[in-house]
Amino acid sequence: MNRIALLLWCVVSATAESNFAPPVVGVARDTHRQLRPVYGVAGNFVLRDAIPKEALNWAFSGAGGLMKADAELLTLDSGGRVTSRHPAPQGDAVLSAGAAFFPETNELWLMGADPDRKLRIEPYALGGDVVALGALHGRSVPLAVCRGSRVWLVTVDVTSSAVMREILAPGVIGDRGCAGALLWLDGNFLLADTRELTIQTAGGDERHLPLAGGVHGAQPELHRAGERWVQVEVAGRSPLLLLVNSDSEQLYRLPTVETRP
Amino acid sequence: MRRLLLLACLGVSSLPAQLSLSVVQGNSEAPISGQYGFGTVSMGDVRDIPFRLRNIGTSATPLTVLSLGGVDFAFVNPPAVPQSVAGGAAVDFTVRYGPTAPSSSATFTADGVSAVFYGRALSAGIVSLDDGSDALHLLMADAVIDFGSAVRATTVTRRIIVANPSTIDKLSIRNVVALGTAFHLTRDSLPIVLAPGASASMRLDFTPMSNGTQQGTLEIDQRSFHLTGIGLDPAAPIPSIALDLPQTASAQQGKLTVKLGSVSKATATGEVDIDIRPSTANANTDGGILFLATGNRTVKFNIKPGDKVAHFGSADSVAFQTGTTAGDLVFTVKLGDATVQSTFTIPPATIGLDATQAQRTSAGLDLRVTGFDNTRTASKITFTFFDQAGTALSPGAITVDSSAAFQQFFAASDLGGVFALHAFIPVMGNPAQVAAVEVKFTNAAGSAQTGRLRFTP
Repeated sequence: MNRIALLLWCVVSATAESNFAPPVVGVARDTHRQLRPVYGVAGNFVLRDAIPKEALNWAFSGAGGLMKADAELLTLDSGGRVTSRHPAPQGDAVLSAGAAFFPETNELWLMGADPDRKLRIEPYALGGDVVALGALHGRSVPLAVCRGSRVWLVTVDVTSSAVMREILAPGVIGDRGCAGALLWLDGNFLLADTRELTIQTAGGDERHLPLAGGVHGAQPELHRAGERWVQVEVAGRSPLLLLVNSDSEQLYRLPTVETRP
Repeated sequence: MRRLLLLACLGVSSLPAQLSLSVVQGNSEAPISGQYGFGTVSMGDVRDIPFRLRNIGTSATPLTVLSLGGVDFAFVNPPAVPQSVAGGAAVDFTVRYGPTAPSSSATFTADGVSAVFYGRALSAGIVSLDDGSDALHLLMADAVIDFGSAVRATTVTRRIIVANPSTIDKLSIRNVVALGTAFHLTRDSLPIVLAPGASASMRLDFTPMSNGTQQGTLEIDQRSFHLTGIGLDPAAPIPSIALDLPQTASAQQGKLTVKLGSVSKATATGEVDIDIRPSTANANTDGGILFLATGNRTVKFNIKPGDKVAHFGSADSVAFQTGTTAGDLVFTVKLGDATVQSTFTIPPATIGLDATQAQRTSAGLDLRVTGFDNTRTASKITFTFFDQAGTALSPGAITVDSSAAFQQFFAASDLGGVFALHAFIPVMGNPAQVAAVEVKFTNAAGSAQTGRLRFTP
């Protein structure tokens, strides 16, 4: 134990003096639909230079992420910088920070796996529309699938593309999850409709935040924007950043990008 | 033949000097032979006609006589007499007809020129303007009645006096009207009959409902008068600043409302600026102090009639961030001629801890802390590691003086006091023996400590 302590003393002394950096909150889509790194801390955000492409969708975990452009899938590092570009099916995709599902081709791409992996999932096996992706866990990845008006959690074996199991999503997510934008965040579900944002925790608790003030009838969008952050986009409103903690949530407004003459 | 040609040439070059009378009509001259009528002019009005005497000869001729014999006609700008008028040259002058009788004439005489000027008068009242000064101002037809400037939706009033100049006859006025949306006439019903020597007073209001020059016409029987005035925007109310901030602290998002001292009658654009007067000498740029609507430290707003607060786009308030610098946040509102400031103080605080992450890898311990120091005086970082039993690992709290590292980092940052600390601690042996860590940051305001952070696999 003394040996450990001695090493700690030396290493802490050396590292603590040199490893300061600007804190990255996450990445967010601005009102021009471009993705930008967000620096700062909760309640104090500064947006920096954009990735000069329209972001159709994205997901960012803090350690890295993915961005879907028109016909490309971009991988991002922990600073929100583009690290690689991959030709991808046109149009939108369902993303998590490490996976992309393309409805056009029914392909699931696992990015950051060693090596990157692409698998095709038969539509009949899914039996509906993929609306959210869970985190890769070993050889399986869970998908949230809308079947009719209900959300099912379908676990797929990434080596065989076979469906390993499927269950109805618990609570309100299973019943109403297809009626809004759904995001799967570390076991928690977030569901946004025109009126409110519902957070259903992994433990089954349910919390609600009002989402007023948007364009009437416009469906909000949810995107994972950081380790604990979710961007909430409501048409007609400034973008919001939601800080998701284990026992509470806090909504912040995202600054508009400064327009320089 | 040569002699004849010579004589002919001589004849042309020596045309006798002769003055000819013309009326000037724009750029041309219309010769007058014997008489010229000035037309019909209202009693009390005048009509000016420009004339020209031209020497149609080739040699100079003297002008020794220039006269008008008769009543109601007069020279306005008589030329000097005597004078010599060169060959082909002309002398201009204006004759004014101001009737005092139903008809009148006068004989114009110049050297070798004679003509009769005549005119007819229309029975009309004498129109005067009462602008509040001591004297009435006589108004001729086509005169301009200038109301000057008036704040929008307010009224400037003039009085128009029409007097019957006759000592014998009554005067009947059949048409009095003010044209133009900004002008309004208040008068007796028509016809207005004036006894000899009597007069009538009418009220003429100028009430501009928009900004800028407004024009109209006042018609009194056959005469017209030009009306003009300028509508001005009312002065904007005096603004005041109301702040809605959950905590007077750094890293907060608040709302600012610009309240108006009175209900606005004006349409105007104003501006709010936010600035920081740091309480610490070595404060770097703080890019986090901004208005969310613009992403910078300035935002514009509008007011319109009926408003009690300013509008930022469609919103009644504008959100801002307090940044991460201790000091005075100064809000400055500029509206019209008024400049109003509101200041609140962000007090120096211990380091704000925003997020922590402690991970254990096979190679060691990975520790990340993000936070902010609004004093820029961060100095010591103290680490205390704990084993699985919750006992502090020897040698206990390990304190590192990181003042220089913090100062170096802040000096290069334009993000205010935010920072991310990343410490990777290699461990010889089994890292799993280290279960948790507490990290304490110290600055001039005191110390802030994380909770006990458990290292996760």
